Amino acid sequence: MSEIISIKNLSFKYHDGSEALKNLSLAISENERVAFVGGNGAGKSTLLLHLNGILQGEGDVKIYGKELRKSNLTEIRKIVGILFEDPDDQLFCPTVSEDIAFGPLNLELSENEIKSRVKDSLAKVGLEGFENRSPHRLSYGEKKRIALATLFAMEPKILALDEPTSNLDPKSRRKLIEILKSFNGTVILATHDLECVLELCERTIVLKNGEILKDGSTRDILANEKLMLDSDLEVPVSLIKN
Amino acid sequence: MHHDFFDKYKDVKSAWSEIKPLIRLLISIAFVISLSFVPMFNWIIIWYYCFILMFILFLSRLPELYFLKRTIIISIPAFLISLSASFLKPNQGEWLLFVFLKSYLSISIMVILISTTPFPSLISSLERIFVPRLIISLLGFVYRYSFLFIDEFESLERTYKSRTISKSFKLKKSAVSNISATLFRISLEKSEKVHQSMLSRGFTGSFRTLSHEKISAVQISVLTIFLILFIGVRFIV
Repeated sequence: MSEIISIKNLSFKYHDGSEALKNLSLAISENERVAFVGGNGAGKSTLLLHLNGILQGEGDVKIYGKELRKSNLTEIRKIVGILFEDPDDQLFCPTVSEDIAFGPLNLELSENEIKSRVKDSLAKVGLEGFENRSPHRLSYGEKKRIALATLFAMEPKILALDEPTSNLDPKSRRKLIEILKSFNGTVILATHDLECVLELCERTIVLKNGEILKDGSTRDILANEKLMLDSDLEVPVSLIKN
Repeated sequence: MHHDFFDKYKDVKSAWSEIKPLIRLLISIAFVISLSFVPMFNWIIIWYYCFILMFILFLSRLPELYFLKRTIIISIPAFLISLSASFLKPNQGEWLLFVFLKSYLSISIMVILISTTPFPSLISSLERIFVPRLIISLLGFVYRYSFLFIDEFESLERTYKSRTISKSFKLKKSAVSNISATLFRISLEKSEKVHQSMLSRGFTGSFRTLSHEKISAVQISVLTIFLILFIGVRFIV
């Protein structure tokens, strides 16, 4: 598998001086499913936001061999789709179809292509016929799926998802996991939902205080009780031996 | 989210709702513009416009009590402005009544339009009559996020009430200012996040939209009939 994301010596400080990422290096291959796990403030979301240049720290970030620069941001944002934790941050238009069309419109696609992408994206998340609904009238689970549809409409090769299952009821959570399983591309999760990580990702990277604590197979990492406790997490129930 | 304060009666089936939102918007604008050209103290034309408004109200099937409540509340500032200006006029009473009636009719047609038209359709109709895209986007954001902020306000208010036993006015005042400050902070954070999400989907600063469906000949005829009703009276009276 070829390396599609390469991060070398990445550091990032917020305006208040807090260091969110410290000299972090990692590589992710095509079609890999990787989880970033760690306690609150570990740097998971900050790292995700670096993947399509929303945040730009010191160090090298390469996506499909292209260095992340102002001049190629549009190109990289076509490749990497970011799902924000709160779907209300992602759905800002008066109707669902306008929200889904927002990305493709920025890509300057033809009108017919955009309409077909809106339809296909809604079908992918199982919400056909929601085109004219207003986002504020949807349930939280529906909002999350529509937010995911806004990414599908961009046809990204990489999905970077920030807490995709947070605040979802079990049924909506299951639906979302099934949708993500069916996605044909690279998936990167930043989450506390370790059961979801077990189900979706073969590789896990544990972060603490902006540094990589451990990188390896999901099962090995999540079953390591000491590591889990050190990184403010706990072993998922399904891995606890009776 | 259980709020419905913009387009509460958008799902009511009526002759008015059969007219496309763009045509409804144009009718309403034409009503207001033609009304503003009615010469002072021409009571016959004003009553004629009252009749047209009642006809549109009848077509829209908007509940009368709701209509009255909304229009009266919204027209209070218009009344106060007319009242203060009327002191400078010789025939105060008549001038006040005439000007207030004109503004009340304008407010009324807009209340009918907004209450019966889905807000997103109204925004897209504004876009079609070449209202600048920035204003359209701002209206869209206001519509989308006003519900969210009302929810936030209610939730903050609940948490305040759940921890308050005292009925002191001073305490209430400080709670309201704290809630306002929190809402301000939330709105700043939200705007930053929304901007990030726009950027992540390729936004580069210019808003783009899809083209709209075409208007049928029947809809254009409806608009023409209303225009004749508004303009024709000037030639008769």
